[in-house]
Amino acid sequence: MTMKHLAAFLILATAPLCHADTLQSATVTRVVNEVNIYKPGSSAQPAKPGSSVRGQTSVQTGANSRSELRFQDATITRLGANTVFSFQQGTRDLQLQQGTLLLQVPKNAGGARIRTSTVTAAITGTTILMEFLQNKWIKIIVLEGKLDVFLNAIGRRVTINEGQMLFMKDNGQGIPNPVDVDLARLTRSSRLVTMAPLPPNAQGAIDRRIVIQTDEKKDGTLVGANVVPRTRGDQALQDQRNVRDIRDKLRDNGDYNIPTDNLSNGQ
Amino acid sequence: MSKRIARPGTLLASLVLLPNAFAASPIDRLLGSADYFDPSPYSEQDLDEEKQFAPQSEGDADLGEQFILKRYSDRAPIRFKLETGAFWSDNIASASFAEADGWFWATRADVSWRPRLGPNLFLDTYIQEDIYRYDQRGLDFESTEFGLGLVKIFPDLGDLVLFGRYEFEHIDAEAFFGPDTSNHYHRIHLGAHKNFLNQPKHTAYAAVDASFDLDADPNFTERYEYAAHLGYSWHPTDKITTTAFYRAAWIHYQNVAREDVFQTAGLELAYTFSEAVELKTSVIYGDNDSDSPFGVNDYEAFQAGLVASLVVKW
Repeated sequence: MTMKHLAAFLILATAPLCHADTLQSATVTRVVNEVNIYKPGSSAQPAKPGSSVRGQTSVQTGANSRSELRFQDATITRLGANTVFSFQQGTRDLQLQQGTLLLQVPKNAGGARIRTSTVTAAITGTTILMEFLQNKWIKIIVLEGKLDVFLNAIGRRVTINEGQMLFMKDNGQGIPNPVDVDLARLTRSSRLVTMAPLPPNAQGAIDRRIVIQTDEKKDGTLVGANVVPRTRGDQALQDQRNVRDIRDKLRDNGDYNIPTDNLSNGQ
Repeated sequence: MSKRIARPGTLLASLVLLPNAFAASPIDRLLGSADYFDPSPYSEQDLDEEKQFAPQSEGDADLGEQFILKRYSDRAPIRFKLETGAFWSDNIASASFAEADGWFWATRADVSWRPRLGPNLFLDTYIQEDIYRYDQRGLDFESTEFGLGLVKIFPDLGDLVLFGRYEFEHIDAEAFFGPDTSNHYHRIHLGAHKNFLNQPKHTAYAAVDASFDLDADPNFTERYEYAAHLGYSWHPTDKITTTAFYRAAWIHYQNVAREDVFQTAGLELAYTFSEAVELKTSVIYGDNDSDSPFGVNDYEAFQAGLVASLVVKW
């Protein structure tokens, strides 16, 4: 990375977001199975609806567990299984140390930054899904709005638009281009999306994008199907019928002296 | 709550940091040597791709099914596929009596191109060359095939795929049999394919197709063939696919009194080394039941093989 890129990236990474009301506290609004709140210097406390999260507190979910937090500016964070999440009070920085989350930031709320050890995602009024698994995968899906992803190590940036997904290995070497993902199918099957209704504005924007994708599928701009593979493993066996055809032809021509070593099929 | 104003540096940084994504080079794809994951095969405009879901990860249940859609906004790639493999068969000549086992080597080179013509309508064109070499004399042959047709996809019918194409096939064994041992066929091939199960770890399909020889030389091989296919694939990981398949075909010869029922069933295990290189092993059973007198065209064969395939697109 050049010095110019480095300087620009550092400025961006450290700059507060435009006209942002900072995040001060969050309230746990939903708990499914095992969810704990960790405060520095104290043991884990089981989270329950109404629990407050602030300061240097982190929230951790167990296997097959989920939780929802609501910030004072109506920003919603839903955490999937085996997730470790925290935020820095007085900023709009969220930290995903591992696991999955859904983040819904209302329009005009000032956006947010999600930091992982590898990438930083800067969002404005947007609903996204994200997964971060150390040394494995980073997945980011934009359900509505858009998001910029920065690779921390070398300052590369990619914009992900709604209906798109980015997946990359967590090795800090590069950010690939995003691809289109079937939003209707994704939102139907996502536990983080279906665990509770989203705000009407966000759900409306997602529904509009699904309609656009449906139209694009109808006109063939987006395609989800593959054609029949012409070859399967039985192709060779089918082609052997051709061998028989050739021998049939020889037989038809009266030529029975097929130069085979040990063939005898009675024809 | 405090209000903060963005520093001027934020805007500057946004201008300086231009979008800078990249994809793996063809060499990286071939060797699988890229030190980052290249998702472009998921979005390239190739109807032959079987990858439809993003790579599996631990959070998939929370994220949802990540079914990738291919965006057709640019030129469709030309696809070159080379497959070569060795097979053992317990009935190497598909013989009715005195079956003999043996080995054969099969190689296929295939070039295909499927550009988009209109709404979910694609041209389907290909040319392929097959070379078969046996460990017993008199069985070797080569086949050259050309196809030109259309593929239509119906999203409203669950992505039902219909295809129709003209095919020409020329079979040549003259190097071994003399100058008068080639066959050729002109045929129309129609079919439909439907995935009725399409999940990240499980895929199942059903298909029917029919091919009609317009002309065949020698003419006693002219036939109509009607086939049904069933297949199920299990993808335990992103690199491993296991497929069980079954095909039944009713073959009606046009110029001789002969009807066959040809059935094949098999298991295939495929391992993907890179986006371009795959290794497959399969075991297949085939059975031909003909109404020819004295059972001269009845046979069974069991076959096992190992195939390496290379796909290059540009």
